[in-house]
Amino acid sequence: MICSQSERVTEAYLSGEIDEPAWRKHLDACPDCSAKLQTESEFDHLVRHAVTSERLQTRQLEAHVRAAMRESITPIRHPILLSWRYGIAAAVALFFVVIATVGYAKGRIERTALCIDAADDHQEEVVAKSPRKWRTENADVRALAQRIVGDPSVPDRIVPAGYHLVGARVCLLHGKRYMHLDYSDGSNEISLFVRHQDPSKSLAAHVLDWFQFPGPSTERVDTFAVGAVQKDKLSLVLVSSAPVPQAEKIVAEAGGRL
Amino acid sequence: MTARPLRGSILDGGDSRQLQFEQLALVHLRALLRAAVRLARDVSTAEDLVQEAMLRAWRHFDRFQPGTNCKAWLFRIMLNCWSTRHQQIRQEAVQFFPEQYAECSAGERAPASRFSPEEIHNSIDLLNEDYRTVLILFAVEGFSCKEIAEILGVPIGTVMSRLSRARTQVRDDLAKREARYMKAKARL
Repeated sequence: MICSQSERVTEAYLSGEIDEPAWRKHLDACPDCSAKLQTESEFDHLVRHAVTSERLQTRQLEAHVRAAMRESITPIRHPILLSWRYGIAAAVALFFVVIATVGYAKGRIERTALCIDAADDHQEEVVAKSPRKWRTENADVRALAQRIVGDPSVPDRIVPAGYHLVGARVCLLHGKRYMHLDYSDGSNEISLFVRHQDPSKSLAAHVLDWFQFPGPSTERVDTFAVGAVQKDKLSLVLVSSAPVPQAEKIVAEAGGRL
Repeated sequence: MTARPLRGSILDGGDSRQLQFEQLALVHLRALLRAAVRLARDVSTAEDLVQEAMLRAWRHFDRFQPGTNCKAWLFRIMLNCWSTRHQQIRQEAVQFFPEQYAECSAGERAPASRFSPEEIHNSIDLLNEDYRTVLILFAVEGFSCKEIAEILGVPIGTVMSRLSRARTQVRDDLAKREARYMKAKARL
């Protein structure tokens, strides 16, 4: 081949990548390039004819492909989409971890403050007998229960076995209004504080309550065993000078009857 | 290739993604098989290869950008599948024996050509795989050198030189066949 252009440009011309007037003009004038182009074009046609004339059955293959597609009907999505979804899932998981951590910490703080307040109230009003106005008449207690916790039968329902009601009054524990019920078995007195949940409280308050009262539990505050439980719409806090296991039992039983 | 009427969608409900795949990709099944047969030099292996490529394309169809060349995308997938398989085939020591390709008799020759399609197949099959691939993609499937370069991930200059050598080798082989044929005919 004499022409320096033909070797490199013929394929590009045949594949339609170049169609410059200068090249066409060159083709008309250059017998080398023209002949090469003709030869290559004929050769390609020969190859194309030979390969495409081969009889190939595709019906069965197509059926197999379709069947395999049906089996894997849920295709793998684009990796970017996958990573995007994983990102969302990770963000949601992180959100819940943060909520759980903050909620748990805040719930623990609130609960401890409540228990300390309840122990102080018991010490002051029951043990130290500070002068307070107690309702002792059954009808008064029931009326107070109706007003504070929305159910007049609560004081009778939660009375621990072997105890009787001494009196009831309203008090504030950690800024919230509770009904303070004083029960006695003849020798020991215990305090049960009951509160009706605010029906219009926010979702955050519900979540916080869940962390504050995940289940019946009892802990020691100074010389008292203080237990707490929450069921449905009522919260109950017990303060007793009895040992922790016994206080736990009272809390669990009272919680069961809430 | 133009879209031919669909034989039936994958789902009767006609999921748009599946319909799109059928219309854009499945129509190239024959072209893929044709090239795969020349690449693998065996119909059964070629069918497996095409099926694997089609399923891979189906699974990753979200990666295909509408408006781009779907046929080129499918060929790229198929050639990647072939590269992976080729390693296995080499390990299994499957060899290609050129002598299995018997020369055709004079009566089988195509009237428009000095060579029968089988002779041309045989000559193509004797090519180095790189040359064979480029020749099929260019001469049979109609891809441009630029498209082939993108499919194979090689420079366009490499495509052109492979194509040129492929043509030369096939031509030389056909010339040798013809010489042998003429010699045999003269003896008769």
